[in-house]
Amino acid sequence: MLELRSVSKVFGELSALHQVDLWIPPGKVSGLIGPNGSGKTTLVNIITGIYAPDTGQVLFNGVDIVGSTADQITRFGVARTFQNIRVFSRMTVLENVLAALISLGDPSWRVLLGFTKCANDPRLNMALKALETVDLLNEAGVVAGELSLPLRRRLEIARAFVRDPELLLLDEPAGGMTPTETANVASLIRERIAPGRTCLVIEHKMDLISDVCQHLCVLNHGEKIAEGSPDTVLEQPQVIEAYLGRD
Amino acid sequence: MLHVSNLDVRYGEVQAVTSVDIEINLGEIVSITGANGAGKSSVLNAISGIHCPSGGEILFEGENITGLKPHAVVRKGIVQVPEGRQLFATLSVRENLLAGRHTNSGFVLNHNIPEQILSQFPVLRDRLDSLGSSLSGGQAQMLALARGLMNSPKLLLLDEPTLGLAPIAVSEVFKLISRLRDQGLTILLVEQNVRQALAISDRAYVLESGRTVMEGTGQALLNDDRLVQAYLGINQRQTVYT
Repeated sequence: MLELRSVSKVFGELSALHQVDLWIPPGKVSGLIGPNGSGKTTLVNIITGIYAPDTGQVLFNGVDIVGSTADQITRFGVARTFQNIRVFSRMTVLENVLAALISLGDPSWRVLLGFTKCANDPRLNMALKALETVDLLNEAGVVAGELSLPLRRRLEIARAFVRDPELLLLDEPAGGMTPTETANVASLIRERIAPGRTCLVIEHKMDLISDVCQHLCVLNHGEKIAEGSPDTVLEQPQVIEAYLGRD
Repeated sequence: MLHVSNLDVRYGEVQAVTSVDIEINLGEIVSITGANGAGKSSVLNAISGIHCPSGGEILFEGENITGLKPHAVVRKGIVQVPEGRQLFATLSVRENLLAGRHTNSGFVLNHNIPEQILSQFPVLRDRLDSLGSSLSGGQAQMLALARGLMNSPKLLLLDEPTLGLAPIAVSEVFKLISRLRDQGLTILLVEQNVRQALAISDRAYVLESGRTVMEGTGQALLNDDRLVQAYLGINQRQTVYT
């Protein structure tokens, strides 16, 4: 499915990623954890074509996608959400999800301006189905900026999910949430988003990681320091030292 | 020290806070917890003058500060460390710190960072000339906290200080908050890490849909079944009771 081979990225004098090898098993939920500044988001930005790595390969279904643009990578079947929620706050919930479908089929801007009125457009049904999946159907007509944080995160997931991506990258899906809200996101991912899909979740909330992930990888200072099942990884001394703390 | 009574906050048609009372005594850590959208940040913003309350009264050291502008509230000795850190990304760490030194004239004549701050935040001492944007999340939060202390506040308002931080950095922030209280600072804390926040709090208020639904000591609330069910989730409940 997805494999990174010896990926390195330098920003100025900072080595953000250093020869990272990573394998994301197909059809499972993998977790990516590590201290702030360890290179997690850089890695997601490289997978999604926002940055090109300085060296190394990113193989998606066996094809090296380094050099492909972000929109090309989306068409290959990769979608993501953002750590700092990036919904279009003045558009409605439904329009936000439809925006992810603009380039599907007719690429014209007329689509964006007109197709929500066209009941026969399959994209409308796709969008409504995605909203139903994340329990946002009742909020379809609400302006996204008025949603609470947990609902905005759900909207981001719906927008990434609507094109049925083969690989879904979730960057801190429970950021800013209380424990109960985090548990709700975990069950959403586990029961409705992950089945039949490969997911990579970046998260600092260990409750969520333990709940949804079958595979876990740890970065520290741009290098991979551990990989394996969550139970074994979270007990490794170097992970406790660098990330979890000793309390 | 701070006495908030009958506080109402509105955003246009939306009533975000309704008849909230909050009491903070000198030297306490008081937490406000609750789900997202419960009105926690609105209460902080009303106290710090960022958003003018539509009703109620805020007394600080016996003086009515309701509706004062934010800079005037800072001069009274109340400083808010905002959610999301809000650093100046293109300024250095030193410049970010100096931005927190608010003077009546607006001029900062002394460009030295007090030793008291640097000894509290050793990670910043080594990075004084680095850009704000170059800091990791944990370091950035330390800078936001240090900037809040530059004006020697009497009451510190902390809005989600552990947002987006790794577990090890979360522990460091909570240790620092406890240490600041031990040094005599009074703190009002809004946090989504409910369990850890309650563990270091003298007292806490739980908000739901803009109203206070529970209050008590941090320890009493940690052991309260209603709070555990509503905000701590099942996994946390097991942790709490084992």
